[in-house]
Amino acid sequence: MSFEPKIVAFFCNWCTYTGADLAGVSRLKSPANIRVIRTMCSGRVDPSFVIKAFELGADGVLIGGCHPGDCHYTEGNYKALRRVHLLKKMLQSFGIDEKRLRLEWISASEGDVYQRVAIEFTEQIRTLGPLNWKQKLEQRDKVTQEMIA
Amino acid sequence: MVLEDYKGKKPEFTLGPKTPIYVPTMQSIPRVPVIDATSCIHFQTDGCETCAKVCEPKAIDYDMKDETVEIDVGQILITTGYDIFDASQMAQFGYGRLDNVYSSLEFEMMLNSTGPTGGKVLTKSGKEPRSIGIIHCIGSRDTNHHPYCSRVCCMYALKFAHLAHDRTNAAIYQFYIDMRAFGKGYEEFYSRLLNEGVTMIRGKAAEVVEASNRSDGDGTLLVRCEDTLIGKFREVPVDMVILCNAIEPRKDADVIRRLFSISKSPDGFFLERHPKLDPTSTMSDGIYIAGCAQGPKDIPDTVAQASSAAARILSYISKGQVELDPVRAWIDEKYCSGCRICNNLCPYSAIGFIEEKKVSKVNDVLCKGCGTCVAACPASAITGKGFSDAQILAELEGLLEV
Repeated sequence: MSFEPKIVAFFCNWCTYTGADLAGVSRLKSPANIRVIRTMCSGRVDPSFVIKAFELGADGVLIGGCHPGDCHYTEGNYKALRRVHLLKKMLQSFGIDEKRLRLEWISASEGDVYQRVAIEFTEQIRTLGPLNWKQKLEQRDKVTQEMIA
Repeated sequence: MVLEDYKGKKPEFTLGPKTPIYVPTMQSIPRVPVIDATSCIHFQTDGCETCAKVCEPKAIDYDMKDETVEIDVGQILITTGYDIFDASQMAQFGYGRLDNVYSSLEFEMMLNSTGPTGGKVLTKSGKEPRSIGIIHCIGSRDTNHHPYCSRVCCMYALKFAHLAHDRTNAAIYQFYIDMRAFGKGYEEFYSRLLNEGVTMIRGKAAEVVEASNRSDGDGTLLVRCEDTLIGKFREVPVDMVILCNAIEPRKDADVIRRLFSISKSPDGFFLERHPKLDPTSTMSDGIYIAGCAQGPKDIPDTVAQASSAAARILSYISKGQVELDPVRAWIDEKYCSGCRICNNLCPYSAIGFIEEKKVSKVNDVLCKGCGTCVAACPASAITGKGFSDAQILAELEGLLEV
């Protein structure tokens, strides 16, 4: 069976979530691999959510916010941007390819942009292959345990 | 900031002579003249004051200054209107280069009985035109400029034809792509125009060129177009060309948009909360939009939308209370360590610090529920109601189960 990536997306209520909704209303086909969680602002996305998503079996995480200067809450998207930069560094030290995390600015009117990003990102994750982070962690723990024993 | 662009702006249209004292537009409210300090002799050389001498009610005050007035309001209706597409961007139509090529608003001004020609339709040399060409869709329904239809042009083009037919003996040609006579009584008006003898040519004009000078001195123009109904190219000689410029968003729409944190649709006009169910309010509470700021529309539609917005605003005022979304951040004092990281993060300065208890506290009225502080709290002491960590993690688990 071919690999179908699981992608968790955190979309802000005002821009990207509405944009993704517009893509649906405009009947633009986008991959079903993307599983969306709505937050009020991309600034609400706690980096631990992303880690948790990978732990629970996500192969990629997409965060969507308003364009710079367009944030409904003035500057939440800048905070998301800062967090994503740091988080990418952290992911690398965990052994997760930083390409598995993506931050995109998609406005409420950009249904077509959402479609493009969704297709692009799904294909990218498909190429990277399954992450199986949880299994890897368990494997590592097992090896460590054996070494101690 | 915004106003700077319009400061010292000359009268909107430039038909006829200009003086330093002018009424900004025909429909100015209040209808009072203003002085342009950049061209007034008094302001430039400090000694004319002729207008003050002749003004009997002594209404002229040279010491008046621009001032910024701050008013506290609870709700705002944005009706900043539109700009017209600058037709000189489409050089093939000769606007700004050829005499007797007018924009729609310039011709509207010419038709105005208080306008520069007293309502007479005249060419630049002061003669009555023998023929007039009206070209539709300049900058609209054009993928190089604006893909949308400006909605009002077909009908005002018909009105122009009707009035020009009424006031002159000119032959009138309309060059159109599609005739969109969509409103109440509009189709009937279109039929009436056909009976009045206006020539309708289906096909967008390709270019306007200057034809050879005629003996009477008026350089006649030539409109080249394809008549798609007979499948032939045509060249129509006219004395005057009127361009139906597209309606486009104001040049400073983005500044206004950011000021009120509202969105725009792909065409650049302000975005409404819902295209069908809520066409007059925006994603920002208390901010409403109406008229061409939201999208091209005619006067009846503008009046309907603006009335709807006004009614909505009044309903809140008469209620005397404002309903807020229950999505708010809340700090559990038990876990708050008083680090104050959240205090500076809040874009609304809604988080204060209680000195006695050494904990932070969210002001429920100021908080908009964005959740930035929730994500940042190192002690997880802040909960975003409706979007708590537990709720989002549960969503995650559910989503990744299969």
